[in-house]
Amino acid sequence: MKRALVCLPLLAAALGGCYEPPGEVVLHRPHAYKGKDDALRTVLTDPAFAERLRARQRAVQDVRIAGMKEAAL
Amino acid sequence: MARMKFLCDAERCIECNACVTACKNEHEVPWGVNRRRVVTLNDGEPGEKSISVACMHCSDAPCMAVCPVDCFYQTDNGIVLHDKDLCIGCGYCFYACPFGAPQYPQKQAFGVRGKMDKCTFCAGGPEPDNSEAEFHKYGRNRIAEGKLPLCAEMCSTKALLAGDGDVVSDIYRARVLKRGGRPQTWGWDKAYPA
Repeated sequence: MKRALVCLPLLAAALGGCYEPPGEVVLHRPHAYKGKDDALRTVLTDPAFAERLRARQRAVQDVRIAGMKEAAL
Repeated sequence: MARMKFLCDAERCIECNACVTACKNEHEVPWGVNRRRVVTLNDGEPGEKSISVACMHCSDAPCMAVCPVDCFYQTDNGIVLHDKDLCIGCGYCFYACPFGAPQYPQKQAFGVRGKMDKCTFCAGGPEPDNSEAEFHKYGRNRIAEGKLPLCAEMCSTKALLAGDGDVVSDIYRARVLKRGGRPQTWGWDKAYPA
């Protein structure tokens, strides 16, 4: 009984020392990106930039010579 | 908004591995890491088929879903990228990915892994565009320069297509309509055109 009376306050003090205010804990939020911002993300929202990429795609990856298109397909 | 996609035309791919080499050279990918690889079915047999595979930049990317540190993000046009400063190299994304795209450089003995590395669609990562830090971590940022992935741009047979999914579909659809269901690369019609 005496030992319990001594141990219980010690245990309470020890556990109290481990307490962290919930506001300071970093909680895991699934699927929310936590890294740095990428400047390219804003560039890619520009419709003119998207059109530029599309034009390059047509120029480089499609058949290059219009007259040869049927033959090359 | 365009969705950036890769497509490899199995009827055109000749397994030259130039896309693999170009990718490694452009991004100076470390030894043992392949962001892109060519897979061949029935290798050595008549009718073998090859496709070039890398990160397919999934619309609902499983790597993003399983990442315990949420280091992945997706641009508005669908490019899946990640922050190597957050990555812990756990390998969850490798197990989740159906294409085996995530790669890990061996850093020490006994298979100790480094940060995950994968195809970035030549769009770099979350560092200032075309900075030294970006090149060191993620490779060259061709998208910021108004270019498309080098693997597709230099494909000699134009088997690998990359860019706006609608344009990729248009190019591929035109090919399929022209050649029909059967490959016309070799055969009687090529040798003796009517």
